[in-house]
Amino acid sequence: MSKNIDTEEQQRIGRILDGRSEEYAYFVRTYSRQVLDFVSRLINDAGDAEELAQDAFVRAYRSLSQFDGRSSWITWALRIAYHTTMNHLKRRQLRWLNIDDLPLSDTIDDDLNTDSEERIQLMETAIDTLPPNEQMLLHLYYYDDRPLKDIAYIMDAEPSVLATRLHRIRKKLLLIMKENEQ
Amino acid sequence: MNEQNDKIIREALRRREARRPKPQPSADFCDKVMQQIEQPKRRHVWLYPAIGVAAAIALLFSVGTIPSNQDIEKPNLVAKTDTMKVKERPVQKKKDTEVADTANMVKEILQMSKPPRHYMAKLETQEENVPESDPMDAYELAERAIAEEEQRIAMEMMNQMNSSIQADFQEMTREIRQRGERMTQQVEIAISDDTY
Repeated sequence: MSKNIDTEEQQRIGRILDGRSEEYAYFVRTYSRQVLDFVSRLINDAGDAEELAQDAFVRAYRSLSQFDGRSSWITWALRIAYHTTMNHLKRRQLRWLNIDDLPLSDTIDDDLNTDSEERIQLMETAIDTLPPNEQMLLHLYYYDDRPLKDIAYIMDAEPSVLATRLHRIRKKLLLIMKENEQ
Repeated sequence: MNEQNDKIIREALRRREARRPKPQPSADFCDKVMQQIEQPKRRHVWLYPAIGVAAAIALLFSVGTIPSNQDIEKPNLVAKTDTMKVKERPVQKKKDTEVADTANMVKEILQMSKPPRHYMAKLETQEENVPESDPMDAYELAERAIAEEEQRIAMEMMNQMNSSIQADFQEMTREIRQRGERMTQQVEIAISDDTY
């Protein structure tokens, strides 16, 4: 993991587990914005995002005794927020294109016959078509620059699986861009 | 090629993030979370006893201690208090399989434990003076005794259920079985001693 839990948070967690539940407000106040921002990347509706973020905090509190300190508390909370939101999306039965169905042709990696600015715009449009979990993977890897090990913890997957998935997503994006270009 | 594509992906993501409105937690975000944290504690105060009572009732029905309305028989108090004889065995409508099994078991034991012929012959000569003893009395008494004992144990069980439901359930079920077995043995002994 990128960092371990700091001493102050560890002490707070100990006090919460001893019954001082009011201490949990510290975690909610400190990380509410970060968790809400994370959930908002997965779900567009602002009201739903806030409810899911709150739900993630409540779930994190209820399973606090299972927190083992291998990651920072916020990474652990983001993992809970991720699964809470994905379960919500599954319940709504949102269907997306399965990237595993796409062919893995090396020729797709060729540069598109467009200039850089147009390619960036095509890429933005292509990213919009991805399902939330794939958008999240791209964000965590390319935008947040998190190590694959961290992302694997949050998304509950093996790093090698995520590396393969990233490769497939890149192929998929280029396919979509080519289709949009034509 | 890949490096160039990665750069494009990074730039596209950066622009998307710049455009995306940053969500702000509502003013009562923290309060709502803390309220939800406190709620389950209050709910669990009545939840577990309620589950315990419901489970106890379900158990009582399953073992047949509480019969349905149509199966309830009025106790023959006259027969029970004035005389131990009941000429006709009342029609058994109980659906309870355990009670029926117990009665059948007692019947079988009675058949198997009949005394030798010479003793029976001696007994027949005394029948004119000795009041007739009907083995059906013993059946009914045994059934009633078992039912009463089960009911008593079930009531005890219900009172003790609230603290630890599963553990109590297992313990009480085991105890019921053991007591039932002991009762059956005692009834068997009593029947063989008193009747023959």
